[in-house]
Amino acid sequence: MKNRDIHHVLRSARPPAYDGWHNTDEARQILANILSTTPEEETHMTPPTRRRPARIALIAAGAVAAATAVALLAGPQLFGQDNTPGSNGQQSASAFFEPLRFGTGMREAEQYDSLEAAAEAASAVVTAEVVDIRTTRVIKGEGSDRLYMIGVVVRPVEILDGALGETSQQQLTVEFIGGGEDPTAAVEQMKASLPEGESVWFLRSKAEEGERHLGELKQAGRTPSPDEVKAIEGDKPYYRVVSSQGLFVQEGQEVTNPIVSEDETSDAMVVEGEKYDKVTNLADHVRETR
Amino acid sequence: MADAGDSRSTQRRLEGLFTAHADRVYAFAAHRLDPEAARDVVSETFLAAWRRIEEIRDPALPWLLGTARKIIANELRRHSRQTALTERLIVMTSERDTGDESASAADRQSVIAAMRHLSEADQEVLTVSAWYDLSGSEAAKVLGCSPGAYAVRLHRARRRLHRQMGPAAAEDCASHPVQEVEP
Repeated sequence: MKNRDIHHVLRSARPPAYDGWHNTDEARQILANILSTTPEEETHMTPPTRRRPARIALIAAGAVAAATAVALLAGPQLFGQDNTPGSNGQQSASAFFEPLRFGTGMREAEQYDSLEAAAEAASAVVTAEVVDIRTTRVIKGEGSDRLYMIGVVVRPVEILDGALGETSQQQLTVEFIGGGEDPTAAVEQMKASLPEGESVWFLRSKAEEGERHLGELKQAGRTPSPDEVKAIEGDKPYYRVVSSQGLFVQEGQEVTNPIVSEDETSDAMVVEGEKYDKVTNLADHVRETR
Repeated sequence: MADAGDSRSTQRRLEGLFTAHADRVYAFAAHRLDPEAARDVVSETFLAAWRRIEEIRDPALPWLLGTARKIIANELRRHSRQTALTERLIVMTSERDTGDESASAADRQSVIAAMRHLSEADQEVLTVSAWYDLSGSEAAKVLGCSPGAYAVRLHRARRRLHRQMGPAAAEDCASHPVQEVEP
């Protein structure tokens, strides 16, 4: 049964629509009761269109941005729950990456409308195998704030688009934000269930970003502060996904993005990637459209 | 005089909203709750609309359904129960002759049976997309998410529904990616 057919069958199973209910006595009574009150009275209702209050403006870019964000990172604790693969026995790629899923408290700076746009913005799009996971560093924020970073170490199998630095062609580390609490124990559990098979990664080199940032500072006539220089140096060895949209894994007979936030940050690019049934077919598509 | 005029205008607007949308709001609630609770949801929803009438832009239905959805969620939380949407659906379908012969009874049973195995969230996005004649962006507003997030949720819910319906359907879903069906 096709999607359109499913939609059609679901529509045909629609329960009563209650057309004309508003003309019943009970409905009229409800309206009369409401109109007998004054509209100015305070209410506790929250309309659905009202945006939530300003949330964590998290930019998973380099340490320069991350260091700025760390003071704001009070909400998401990616490893705060016992949902690691080792804890529930799941071995799938989705289960492995689930603790790294971008939390709904994060608002990303970058979003892409299509696979092609994300590939264009990436340093490289690769197929790769996960070979390790480890904690990489702790970025200090204001006061006692700490941002723990986690690195997924991958072995590139094929560069589908763009280019990797020479030292990254055999192996590279993709950094994720692990939250404000030490994730070492959870990472150790994840080590025990590394996903098998290839996945498609839309990667950004943090070294390139650092260089660009320095160039921008220079153009603006600014000298980078010692902290900025230190942050840029700290970023250099790592890559990141261009956004939470930038990873696709094989999950049974399907391709899925295991890290995208299903709240605010999802979009057509994820749907576009997930329409493929095999990661290899998605890789073919990226390769063909470069 | 101006105040009295404003007041009458506000009242007329609410009456207009009620006439246009109360059926749909009641249906939305009655699909999830018993009739008495559904009436309460309508009452609370339009009371909220009355108090926030200045904020409600046309089309108003997504705002109303989104508000009703929150009230229903609170109601369910209060009573520590789930909507059991498909249970209600089975009861409602068996209570009436649907009159819709465009899909076979077997197909309907098959889809409803598969839906029973899905999460509440999946059931919700599937039914909101199919039952209330909403566009994608309106449905997103009802569910309180962005249109992009709605598209992803719908896509995934349909995929899980196909999976529940068997390997052949799942295979077909994989080769026929999500196509947003606008009513």
